Amino acid sequence: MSYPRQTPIPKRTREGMAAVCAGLCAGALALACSPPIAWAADNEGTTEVTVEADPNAMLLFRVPTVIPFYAAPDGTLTGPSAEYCQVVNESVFGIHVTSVGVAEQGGWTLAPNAAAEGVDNSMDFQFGPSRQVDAHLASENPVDVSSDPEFNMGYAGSGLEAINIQTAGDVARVTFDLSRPVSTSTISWTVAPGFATEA
Amino acid sequence: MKASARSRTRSTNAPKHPARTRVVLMGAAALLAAGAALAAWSMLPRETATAGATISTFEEIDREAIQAELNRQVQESMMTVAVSPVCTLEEGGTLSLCVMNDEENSMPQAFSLSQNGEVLFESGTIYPGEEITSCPAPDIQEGDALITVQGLNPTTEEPEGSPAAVEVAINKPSAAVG
Repeated sequence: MSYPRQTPIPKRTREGMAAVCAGLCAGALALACSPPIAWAADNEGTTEVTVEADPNAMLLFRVPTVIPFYAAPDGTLTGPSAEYCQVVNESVFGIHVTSVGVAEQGGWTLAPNAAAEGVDNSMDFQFGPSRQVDAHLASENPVDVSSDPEFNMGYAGSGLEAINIQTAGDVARVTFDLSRPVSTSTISWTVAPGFATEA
Repeated sequence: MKASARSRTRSTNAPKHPARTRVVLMGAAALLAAGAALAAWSMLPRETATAGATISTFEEIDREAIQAELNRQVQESMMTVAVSPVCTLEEGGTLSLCVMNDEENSMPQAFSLSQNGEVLFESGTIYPGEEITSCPAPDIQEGDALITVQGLNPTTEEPEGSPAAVEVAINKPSAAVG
């Protein structure tokens, strides 16, 4: 098949067209290689989105002011059932216990092991979601539980708003009259908004 | 029957009691009264624990009853703590805050404000349903602080039970944008 003969393009025109094509190709190549941000600088912006608690929102929680124990003749302590001994969050945001402190009262000695203490009216007890807080240690310095997720409490209504406090302990060499309840110590709970952060 | 008629009837128809019988009857009545008093005392609710961790001894009652009593005591001791986690430092050393004694609480409360281990303010008694919205705190600095809420005995208004604390943030008021 033969094609109709084309009119030859003059040399100067061919050179000009080649220059234009080269320029267009170089420009396209430059655009393809340039950083996107440089390309997009005039076409996009960023907006930071932040959230903070309403400064008028209250941190509400319920806490037991008394943890009662019964002492058996062998010194073993029985405390309340964990599902009744709770710290309950009633806030619209999550909270967590950051530290727990214990202060001796009434002449009692909080010991690592009451039976081995060798001192009259000695007591040892442990408490917490996994009984991880030792009262003796907490009486020396508040125990930092700020990184313990077991002390997290979800917002009210989340189903995770309560932590159950398990308890156990012993007394030894008791000379006080225990026919009526006697106070041995106080427990101070410190709470903060949010959940525990990893140590 | 009229009282006078009743007494005349008693005086004529009631049997005569010899002295020994009267003594026996009086003794029996005294024993009966003592028994009734003991029964009433044993049915009285146990004295409620008043503070922190408390101990008392087992009585001759079953373990379920012991557990139920412990559970009752801890539930009755529950206290609601309501504190705003954000406080604002105002002009003149006044701190805007909110500490509220929930109206459902059965005890009055008091609170203290501390920073870096130093107590900077102690409140008076706050009754259920009341709230404190500001306090003088000329020495407080911007940053973290602690508000500790203590339950009080309803009668003596002395501290009773374990306290609870809330970590709060002390902020300066936001600058207005003109």
